[in-house]
Amino acid sequence: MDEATIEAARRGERAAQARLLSALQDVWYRYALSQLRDPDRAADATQETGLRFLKQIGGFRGESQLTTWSLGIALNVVREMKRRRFPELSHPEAATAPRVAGAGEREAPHPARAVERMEAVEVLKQTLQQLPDRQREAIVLRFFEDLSVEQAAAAMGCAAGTVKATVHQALRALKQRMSGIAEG
Amino acid sequence: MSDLRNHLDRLKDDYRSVRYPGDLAAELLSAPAAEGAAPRRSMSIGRMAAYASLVTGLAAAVLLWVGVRDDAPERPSNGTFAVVPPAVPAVPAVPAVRADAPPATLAAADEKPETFDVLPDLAMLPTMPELPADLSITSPENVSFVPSAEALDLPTLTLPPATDLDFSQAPSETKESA
Repeated sequence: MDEATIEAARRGERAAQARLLSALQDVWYRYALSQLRDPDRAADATQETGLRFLKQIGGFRGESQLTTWSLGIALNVVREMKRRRFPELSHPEAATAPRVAGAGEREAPHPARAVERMEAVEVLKQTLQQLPDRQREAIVLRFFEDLSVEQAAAAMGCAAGTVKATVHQALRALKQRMSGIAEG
Repeated sequence: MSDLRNHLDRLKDDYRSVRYPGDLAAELLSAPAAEGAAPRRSMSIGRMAAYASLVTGLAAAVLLWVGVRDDAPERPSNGTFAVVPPAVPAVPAVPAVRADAPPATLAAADEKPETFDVLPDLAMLPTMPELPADLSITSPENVSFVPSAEALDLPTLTLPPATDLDFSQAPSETKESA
């Protein structure tokens, strides 16, 4: 994504906008899929992100990288979809308070047997889904999208210190979870 | 923490391998617009058509305005309608009065006033034939234009059967109500 293409897209040239959409669609989709856990919902979120991207590209001032800036749009789209359409996907307290199986809920399998059945990466993936939304967002942006603390803060719309603290809490929760599985 | 980092790195590879199942540019942008050069050509054709229709409309408006302006004898500029006096035949200019000339009344008496033939001369109209003197427009008294009833021999009208329409009395009991 060179500057000329970005500038042409800002001026409204469709060919340049199409090139940017093709370059960014995978970034938006995999982020949405990591948060929504459903391919169809992730595709919807990607399309909505693309529409907003086309609307707002004229206001892009180049203060951050285009990928970071567009990830901020995707992040807002996913947040809105979770809040309005799929509130069951949000786990605001999942990591701070370990889940306890309810009366009608099937009890989770023993951690040792779970480790036997699935790889550690799969365990980590599922554990990641149980993190609070903010912590999962921070982990994905920092470790999967390789954004710096400042870039993640720009995408998330918060201060860099908040990102640092959120990442620290998320890593600690993941470590506790993974060590508990290994010990069990 | 290093094991966790290793797991995160492996999960990152898995995360990065995900691809969007489609072409977002084709979905969000129209098909010719995504090709680049085509939209500019179609835009120019549409713009040319718009300009042509605009110029045609302006020319028609100017022609219509010029035609209306030529037909109107007088058109005030402030948007109000003017009362146009009827056409009057041209009157010859009155000669200038000189100091040594006789008074106007005397001068007029000497000259025959000019007349204008607005109506044709009555002598030129054809004569109308006269009505005959013994023509009477009153009808004679013994002649009747309406025939009498006896002459028409109309049949007598039969009367309809009488009906009792008095509802003041209470309704009598029927077998069903009993």
